[in-house]
Amino acid sequence: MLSYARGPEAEVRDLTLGDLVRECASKHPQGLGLVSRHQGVRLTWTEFHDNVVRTGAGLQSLGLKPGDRIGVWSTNCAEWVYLQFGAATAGVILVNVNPAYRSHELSYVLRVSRIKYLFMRESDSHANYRKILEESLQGQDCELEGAIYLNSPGWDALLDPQLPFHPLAIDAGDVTNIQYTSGTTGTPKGAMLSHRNVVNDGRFIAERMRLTGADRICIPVPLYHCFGCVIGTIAAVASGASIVLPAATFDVGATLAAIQEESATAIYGVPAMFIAELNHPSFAGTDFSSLRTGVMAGSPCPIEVMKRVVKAMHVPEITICYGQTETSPVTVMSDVSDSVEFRCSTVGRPMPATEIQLVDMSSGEVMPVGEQGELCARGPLVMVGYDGDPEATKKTISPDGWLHSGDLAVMREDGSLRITGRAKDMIIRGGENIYPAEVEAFLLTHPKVLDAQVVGIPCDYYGEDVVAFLRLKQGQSAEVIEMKRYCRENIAINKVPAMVYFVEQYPLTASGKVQKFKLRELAVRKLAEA
Amino acid sequence: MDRAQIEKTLREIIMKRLPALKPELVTPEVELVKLGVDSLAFSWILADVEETFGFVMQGADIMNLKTLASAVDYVQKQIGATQTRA
Repeated sequence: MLSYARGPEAEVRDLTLGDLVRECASKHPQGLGLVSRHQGVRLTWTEFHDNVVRTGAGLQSLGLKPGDRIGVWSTNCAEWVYLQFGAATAGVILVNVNPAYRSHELSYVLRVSRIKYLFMRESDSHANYRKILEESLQGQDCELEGAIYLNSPGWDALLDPQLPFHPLAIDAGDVTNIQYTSGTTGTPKGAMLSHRNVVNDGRFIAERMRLTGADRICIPVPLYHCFGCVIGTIAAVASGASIVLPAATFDVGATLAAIQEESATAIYGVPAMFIAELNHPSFAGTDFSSLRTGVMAGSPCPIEVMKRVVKAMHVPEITICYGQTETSPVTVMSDVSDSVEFRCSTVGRPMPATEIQLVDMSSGEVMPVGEQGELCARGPLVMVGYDGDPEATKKTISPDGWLHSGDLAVMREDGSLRITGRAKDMIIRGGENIYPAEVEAFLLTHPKVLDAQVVGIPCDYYGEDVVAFLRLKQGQSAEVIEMKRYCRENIAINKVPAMVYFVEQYPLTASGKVQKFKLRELAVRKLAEA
Repeated sequence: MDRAQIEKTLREIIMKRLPALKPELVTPEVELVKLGVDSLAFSWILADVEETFGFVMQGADIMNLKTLASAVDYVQKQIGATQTRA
């Protein structure tokens, strides 16, 4: 039996994001649509729709035409969501710009993305964005015509209700969003997503979670990442579930307060966020009884964390999503009716209308069930391509439409999938393949260990060797030799980390993913110093 | 621990991990790889060195275990450093 599975048959709707929000407001006119707690914003779906149309009109008043690009460079806020849907109604492409970007990265994005207007804040507690923009524009040619500061007269003028909106014929296959891949693996590439891509992924995600207009989704993840702006906002609009933004950036206390005070029924996060919440001083005093479901995604989910979220955080129907920016993003997802054991041991089954197969990385042959291979996806969720990079697109999407994820997985006979690692993270030590995910999962079984990250570093003898970075539970201390001994006694000797470092935190991208390449660099530096 | 004791202990470690090896072949200057110490055996030898002598080896230190003589030098230096820190 081969590692090929297809999700359930389902209607792929040819809707634009504008159609979707119109439909939502029509079905749930007085339903709570958008809450931005740190801004004091509370809107019904009708009010939200009105703001979306005004934003679209405002963009048209700037002379923007279908196919033109705008960037939004901001932490979470109501305006981000207006721009997401407003741009879509005007046929303008939204480019998500990582709020953590500084001048070096911003220069690159401004140059390659060809955005005409950048929507941003002048400054906040993290940075002076105006200054960063000025630095990034020095000595470079780009198509930027202007920057509009959110929460300024310039922004207010854009939302003038007197500005007319000119409805347009927009095709569901048109690109609506460009998202740059995360910084965990290398040079960012702009994945172009169509209305069809993101509307249908949002719909399928909402259906798997059984979201309805009675649900309230607490979204602490950044909107600039597809976790926030597809799994979050689009799944919400597709179902009528309320969008609750607890804060501008991830704030554990604000998230716990939002869950309780908004009676959230769903909570999203990367594993690091859930770990922070579970260990926060306010955790014990928070009422989680309203929670039913949610999504844990973005990086491999430790089994022990998942079990605590189900029990201690009262999220019995937490789901696991797997995917990538290039697939809108979710291609594999568990269902709320799956057992805890299933949700702990797999990332679920293919999404509707989506095919998944695992292939041998050298030959391209489909692997037998139970054997590891590279996960490939095909269907309506696969991106249009990489912006301005047909070569990279060709390397990623085969002529017959299979997108190669670069992730390794094993398929079970029931079509469910377990992610076993990322091909690029694989360590080759003395000719043996070692998968960091496996070593990390083992290290997490140590009672003192809160979190574990494993990387490979160059080694003159082995080619590469294994290094672990551990975060210990509060109040715990440990010795390197203690951890090595624990490994030696329980796993194959070639997987035992040559070195163990204890750290307080990991270098993370703005979306919460661990930057393994930085850990690798740190390990090499420490060894050189030693 | 003096040099002679270190050498004796290291010999015992090597013989434990390569029981089929004839002891007389383990001379101070012979390269351990030529004695059949493969990468797996090396991993075990490193582990034993750490546990026996009580210091943590850095990955790059593997190159110090090329021969028995260089291994003795290395361990003597590490023990000396450990005692100094204590």
